Amino acid sequence: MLADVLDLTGLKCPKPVLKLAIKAPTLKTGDLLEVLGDCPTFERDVRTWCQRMAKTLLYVRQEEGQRKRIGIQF
Amino acid sequence: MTRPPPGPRATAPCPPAASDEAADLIGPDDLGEVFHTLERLADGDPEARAPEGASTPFATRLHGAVNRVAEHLSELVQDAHEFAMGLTEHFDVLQRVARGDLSARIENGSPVEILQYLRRFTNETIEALELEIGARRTAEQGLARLAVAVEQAAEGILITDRSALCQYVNPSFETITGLATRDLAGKSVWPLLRQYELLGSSPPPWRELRAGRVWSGQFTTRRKDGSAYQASCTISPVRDAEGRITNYVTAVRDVTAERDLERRLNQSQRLEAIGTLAGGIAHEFNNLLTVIIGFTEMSLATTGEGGETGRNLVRVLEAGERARNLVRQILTFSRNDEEDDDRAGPAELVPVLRETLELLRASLPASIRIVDTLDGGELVVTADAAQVQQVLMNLGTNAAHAMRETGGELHVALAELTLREGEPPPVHELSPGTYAALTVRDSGCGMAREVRERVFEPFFTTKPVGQGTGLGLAVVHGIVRSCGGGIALTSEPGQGTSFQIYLPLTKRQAATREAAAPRQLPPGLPHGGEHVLVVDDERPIVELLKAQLTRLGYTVDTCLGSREALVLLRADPSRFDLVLTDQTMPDLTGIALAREVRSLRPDLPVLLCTGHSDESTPDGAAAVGIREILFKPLTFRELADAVRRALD
Repeated sequence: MLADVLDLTGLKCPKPVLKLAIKAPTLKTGDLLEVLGDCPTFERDVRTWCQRMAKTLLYVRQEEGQRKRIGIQF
Repeated sequence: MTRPPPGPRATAPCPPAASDEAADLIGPDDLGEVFHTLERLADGDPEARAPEGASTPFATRLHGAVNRVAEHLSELVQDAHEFAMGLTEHFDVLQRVARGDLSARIENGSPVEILQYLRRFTNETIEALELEIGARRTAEQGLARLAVAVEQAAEGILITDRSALCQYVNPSFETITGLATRDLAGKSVWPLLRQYELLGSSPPPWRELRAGRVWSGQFTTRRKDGSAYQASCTISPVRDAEGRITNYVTAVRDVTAERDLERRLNQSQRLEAIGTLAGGIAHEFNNLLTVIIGFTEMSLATTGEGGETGRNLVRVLEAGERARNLVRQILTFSRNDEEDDDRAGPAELVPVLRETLELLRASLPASIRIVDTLDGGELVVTADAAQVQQVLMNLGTNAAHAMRETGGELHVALAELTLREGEPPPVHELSPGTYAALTVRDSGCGMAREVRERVFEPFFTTKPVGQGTGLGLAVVHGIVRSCGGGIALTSEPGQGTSFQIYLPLTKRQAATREAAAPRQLPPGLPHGGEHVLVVDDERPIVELLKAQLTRLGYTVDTCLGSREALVLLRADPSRFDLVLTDQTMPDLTGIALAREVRSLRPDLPVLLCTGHSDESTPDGAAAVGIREILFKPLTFRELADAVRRALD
């Protein structure tokens, strides 16, 4: 179930993962969070964060321009 | 993004040139690459680089310079990413710890040195915290367990500070004393202690307690409602780490019931011991009285009642009879009076009690009013009517004595009591069943505790010398106990006395047995010429019986032991017509001898003569062919009648 969407468009790395880290404690196990971002390293940083925090990266969708929508299962 | 194709590359260093010379230094494509790379870097792409080769030396140098800047930038971005990732990981772990998850740790290593140190410190801090919290939790659990134990302890617990100001009492303390924390919190316990003095007990020695010694003791004190109880108490000082007394903890138990039971047990054991002693003495006296009465009767038969010798012998006989009655009362108390066992009930209580009350009314002074509530219905007990009569007469006489100066009321009440399994009995000897509860209550002077505790002892009396034997209540006690009943007593000085007698009800219907009428002796002694074997280990008894039976015309052989008698009988079983034997003898008892006789000659009658035995019950005796049990001391007439009955 989609719990929230975090729009990080326009932020340069590593700011998006710092924002994601602050958001994470508000979510419960099982929640789905979508994050949006257009930083060139956005996808790579989110993947690394998911791996280290033991979260499941569900999907990466390319949207217009460089923007990507990434689904994370908590 | 589509990159423009590279133009011709410069191979020489780029000299300062005017704008129209710029095209010779760097081609527009090379410049485009530079711009494009810088734009990507500006967008945050650390991977952006200009092509290695260019159309001019200047362009090549420019690309190289841009790429070196890009390398540095990339390195900075990589570090920033590493820091950010390490930071998010610490953030995640610390917020889990803040929520109580002490298993959280920084798992991933980082190439950044300072993050490696930070990871180690963070994990060590969490581990230390985990240990600390674990130890604290264990301590808290221990404290909680102690608190629950104190809260739920059966003993009353009182905790005071060192000035005896109450800090805590547990629920049991409230149950025992009626005082709760709200009554005592912050107050001094001295008022509690002062109550001990009211009841004549010594208070705990606070001087000793202040010196740090533990005090244990028992005292009588009062509950909040004013009722008295016996407390068993231990007061212990509590010290801090430096050894200073900070508190006192008091554990209290209500031992009223235990002390009462102990007291009753002691009383019961004392009565038992006195009964055994008195029974033994009475038995010896029986033998002596048998001889005294027997020979006196024989002498009287010779001399007649006229003349000085005759009158003297009559006085001896009368004294002997009185002594015999006294001995019977002692045996009643010691529950060794087989004659009473023989006559044991059933008796319907109400008629017997009414008849006894009539007797009491006739004998008590007018200042004593008798009030009876004998509405217990048809209550039949396994006691003899005469025994019941004696119980009420003795209690009534005692009550009258207690009211002799002021007069008063004697209440006699009867009710039925059903004691179920698990119910506390009114008297501790009683087992579950149905009982007749007889209450005899007077409004007399009452009794002090010292009197109450000894009142059932034989020969204990508060009456002046010559006015009481001290056997009345001992006999009541003996009768009630021999019927399987119990007796309780409540009395306080100036508040009268109440006896509660509990007699087990029988399942049999109302007694049809009429009160035994006094035996009418025939004018002459019955006699005969049959052959009688007399067996007793007491020579004077044997001699008396032989003399009496010989005078009645019988042929008498005697043996001083049952073995000797058995030899005689085995030699010629048809020689005798009757065996008269004592019960208590060494080697072989009278009953055992009777059993042997029965096997030798079943039709040979046996009379058992006894003064003290538990096994000679009528049923047991009948089973071995005993015709009758004779109780010492025997009068001449009783002997003559019994022998004739057995032979006829």
